[in-house]
Amino acid sequence: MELTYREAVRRALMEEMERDERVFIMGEDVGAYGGSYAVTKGLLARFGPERVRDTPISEAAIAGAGIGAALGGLRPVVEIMSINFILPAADQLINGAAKIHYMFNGQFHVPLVVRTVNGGRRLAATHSQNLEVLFAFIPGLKVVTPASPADAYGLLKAAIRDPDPVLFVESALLYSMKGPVPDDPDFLVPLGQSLVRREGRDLTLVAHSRGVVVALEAAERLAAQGVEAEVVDLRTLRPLDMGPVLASVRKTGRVVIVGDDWQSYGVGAEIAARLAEEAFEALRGPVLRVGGAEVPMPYAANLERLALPQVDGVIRRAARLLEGDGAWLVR
Amino acid sequence: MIMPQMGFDMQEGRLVRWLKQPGDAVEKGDALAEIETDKATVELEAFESGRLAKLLVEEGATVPVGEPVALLEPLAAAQAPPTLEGREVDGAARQPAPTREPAPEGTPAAAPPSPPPPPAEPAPRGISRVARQMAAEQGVDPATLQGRGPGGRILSHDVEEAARQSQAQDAQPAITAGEYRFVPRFHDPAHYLGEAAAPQAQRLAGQTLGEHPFAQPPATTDPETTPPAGDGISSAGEAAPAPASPAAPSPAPAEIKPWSRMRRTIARRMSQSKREIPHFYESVQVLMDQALAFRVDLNRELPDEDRITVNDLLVRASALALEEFPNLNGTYTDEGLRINPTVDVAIAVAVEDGLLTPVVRDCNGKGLVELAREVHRVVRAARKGRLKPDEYAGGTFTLSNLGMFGVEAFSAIINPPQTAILAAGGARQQPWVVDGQIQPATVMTLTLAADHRVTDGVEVARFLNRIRELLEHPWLLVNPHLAR
Amino acid sequence: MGGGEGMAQANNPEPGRDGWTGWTPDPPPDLRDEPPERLLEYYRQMQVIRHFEERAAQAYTQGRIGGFLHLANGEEALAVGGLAALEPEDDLITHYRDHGVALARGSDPGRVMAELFGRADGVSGGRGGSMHLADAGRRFWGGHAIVGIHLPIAAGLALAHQYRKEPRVVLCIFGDGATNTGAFHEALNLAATWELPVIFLCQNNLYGMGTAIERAMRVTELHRRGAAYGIPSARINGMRLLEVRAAVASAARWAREGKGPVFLEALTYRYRGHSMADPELYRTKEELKAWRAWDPIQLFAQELLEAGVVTPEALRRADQEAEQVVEAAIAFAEQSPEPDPATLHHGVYRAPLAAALPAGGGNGVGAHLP
Repeated sequence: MELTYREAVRRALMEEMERDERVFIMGEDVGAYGGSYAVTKGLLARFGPERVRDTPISEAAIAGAGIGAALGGLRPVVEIMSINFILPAADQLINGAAKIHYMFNGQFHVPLVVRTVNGGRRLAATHSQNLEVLFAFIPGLKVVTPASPADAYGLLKAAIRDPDPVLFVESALLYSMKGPVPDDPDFLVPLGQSLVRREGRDLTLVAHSRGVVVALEAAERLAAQGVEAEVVDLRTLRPLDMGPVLASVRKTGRVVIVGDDWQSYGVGAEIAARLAEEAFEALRGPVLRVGGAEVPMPYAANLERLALPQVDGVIRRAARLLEGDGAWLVR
Repeated sequence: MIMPQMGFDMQEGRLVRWLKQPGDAVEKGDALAEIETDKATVELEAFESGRLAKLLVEEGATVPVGEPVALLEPLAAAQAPPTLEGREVDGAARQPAPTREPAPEGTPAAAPPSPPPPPAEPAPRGISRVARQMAAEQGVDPATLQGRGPGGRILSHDVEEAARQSQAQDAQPAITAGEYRFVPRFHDPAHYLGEAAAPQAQRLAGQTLGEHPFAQPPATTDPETTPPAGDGISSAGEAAPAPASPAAPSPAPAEIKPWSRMRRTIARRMSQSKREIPHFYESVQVLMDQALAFRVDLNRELPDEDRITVNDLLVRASALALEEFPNLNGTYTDEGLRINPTVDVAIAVAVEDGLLTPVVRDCNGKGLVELAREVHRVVRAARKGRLKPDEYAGGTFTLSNLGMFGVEAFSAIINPPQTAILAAGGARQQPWVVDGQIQPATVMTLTLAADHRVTDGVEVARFLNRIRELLEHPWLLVNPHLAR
Repeated sequence: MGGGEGMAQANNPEPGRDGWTGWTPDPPPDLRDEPPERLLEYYRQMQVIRHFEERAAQAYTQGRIGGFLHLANGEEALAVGGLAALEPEDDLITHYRDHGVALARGSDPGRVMAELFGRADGVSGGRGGSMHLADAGRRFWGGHAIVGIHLPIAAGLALAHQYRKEPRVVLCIFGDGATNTGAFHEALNLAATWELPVIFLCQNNLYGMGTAIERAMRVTELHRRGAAYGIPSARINGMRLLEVRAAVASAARWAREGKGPVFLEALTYRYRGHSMADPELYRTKEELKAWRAWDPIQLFAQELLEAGVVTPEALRRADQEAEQVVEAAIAFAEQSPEPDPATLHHGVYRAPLAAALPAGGGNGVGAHLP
């Protein structure tokens, strides 16, 4: 069936809540308001206020109560309205959720899902960030960044059924994207598996979250001009599955990494380092990145556009790898 | 004894000074020496009792963590008389000469045994090196100090204290010589624990066995009453039965006696009541001769412990009257008056430093003697501090009786969320005019304080008159439906 | 049972619902109404904790325990009295000053000491250390060492009980310092709003590390902070075991009936520094001495003797038993092996993902062996 990304998330929540009574939702305005991004719209009516819980504006309490409820045997899916608001909860997630299983020697675990949203449009510096990499740094957390309706559906279901704390980072700019979603309530996309979204022999584009959409569009345009780019969607940032990336790079020898996060110390930096360690002999040129400009996001439309990865930028870097000078590709 | 690890990043420590000398008895927990680490000066603690046999390092020496610094003889061995060897060690360590133990290399402090900064003037005997140095820095004359160390030895704390006092006297800011000196405040347990003195101190004051200051607050003798806080504490009267005599004005600085928990609770609840409840007051005089005679008659038939008191009659009369005037037995709420199904009379009981209000539930479900028995029980429990929470919470009306204290009449503060409180003065003989004739009569004044949001003057007048009627025809207290 | 009125109102209470009525802490029972064996056991437990920590301090100075060691001498009545009021199926969560609490909850002293020693038989397998004890079998959800972090977690544990309509409560212990953290505020507000069955037991020992309470907050009667959230709150004497037990028990009763959280401020004092490295420049010796007069163990022993419910011999026997327990714990910890080096990567996740294993010579991201 064809669903939007938003509907896919909602459908996954609904089905998991129906499947398992322990699953419940809490967060700011997830109930009566219907969710800031309308993802949880209709769930309050369907499941009632004990399972769709409006919280105070208290990110630490939301995350912490999620940890406690998970320890207590429930399967909480908490919503942090946007990843920009997750920092008060970072202590709970980093010092709490991530460490509890290891530090207490596996005596108990934290089956918690924290749903949140990165990106944004015209929301400026404090409301447009892509902070998922902060959490991908932390052993003990799992960080998931779906880039299609099917992945949003299957990864969220897998996250809810997973026994570990999962940060599930949706993309604000993808909520309206439509795509096929299997009509199967047990369709799961396993966490920790990268996916080749498009095959190609000339060049590898590695991306996550909204970067995947940019990479796919770039691949389309390259294909029109006879260049076959392979697109690998990381899907899960931690634990990171390098298998498909390495296989692809061993085939193409050329890599561009695409993501909205700031480049320094970001996802691209990690992938580049891993390629240098594990596939150096296969590289036919430098590993290139297209990331967010290293500025707090400006509000003005033209500046914002400049600050985010664009298809042209991907193609320019691809051209540099393929030709040394790819003016013919860009028109 | 080894150089202790006192922090995860400590690798060595400097032995600043010995606090015990060879031969000294050592108790578990005693500080044997001061150790200086990179971060702080801490104490070398004895983890068992015994006798300090030998010092292995000199003051000022820097020693790696885990290296021995002294020998401690455990208790059993230490009980033997000190050996000759022990005395030798004793003497050797006191001499400021190089010991046989070579000091660790590269520790200049260990090389010359003399103190590094020479004092400005010869220091008195019995002052620690640190204290001497500190005294010089702070301009304190050691000769003026009383040492609190072993054998009157002056320690750094003594110097600190003296410096602090002189600072306080001079009203100087705490910053001296460009250095801020933090002065810790004293946190008195009495303030925090709500009990005026430490338990040991009480015991020394001759407290008898079993008189736990919490469990046993007999109102007349125990000065350390701390009853359970909460709703059971209330006022009985604006005129408190405090036996304290007014203190004569004294030239000495006033001393602040911290509020007890009970006083705090009373203060809070009474202020709230006076602030929120519009009180009004009415008084009646009741002829008590019949009631007193009735009581004597009745008590002839009763065992001693069940003897009826005037107070019991007041509870009974109030309870019966309240049944006929449910407004006065009600509870004010913003939505309306809550009508309480039973009459639960609270009785103000004086305890040391405050009041408790034990409650007798469903007074009108009991016969007079049964009611009196229950009144006696809860009052006794209150005096002994053994009330359970449900025995002091939630009355619907309060009686405060100061008659036995010689009070003629008084008015009381309503015990929220109740509607009224009855204040009873003493019954005393006085001239009384009946049909133009003066006769002796025993008269008691009752004053009711009531919530004007709930009731008005006429209703209260009727209520008080009904109480008077019941008391002046006391058989009605046994059966209110008897024809007069 | 459970599922309080707040939830009965479907998380949609009436506007203007503030404050509470009807809760006060129970006063302590009369000693003579308690079974003497039980009182003696309380005494013995407090002495086990005291000896345990004294021996731990000694082991620390000898370098056999590393890192930080936070001792709770003086706070034994809180641990033993507080936990005596709990049912086995209730939850316990506490902060890093956690040895006494673990022992009072019934964790094996040998395994607790082994944890301090960093050994494989430690309650947390040697991975947690002094600050991170836990015992899942006793529903002891850990010592948590970021100040205030566990208060929201406690609210969540309570939420699980409320969700399943179980008559269980959570005891959450923390210090006065934690009441200045944002997590404290958030947790109390959430617990109060949702009427979660959690008892917030604040150990007010007057110092957050070395900063006296009045230097860190304007309202130092911490129970008033609890009351500010509409939570029934009271200040109790944390040096009196039975007062603590009675207060926690009455709080637990309230919470178990679905009426929501209770906040208890227990006054106490720690005789030792914040950790072993503490020079204690921030308080006076006179103050320490004044508070030592309230030593909870001495106080309790004195009361037992004065009430005539135990004999001096019985107390001496209990002292000896306590020492034996602790000596056995030390011996057990000493003989326990260090953790197997091959287990370094074990247990970062409950469900390690095979696909995420490094493809070869990786830097360890996602590396977790089964």
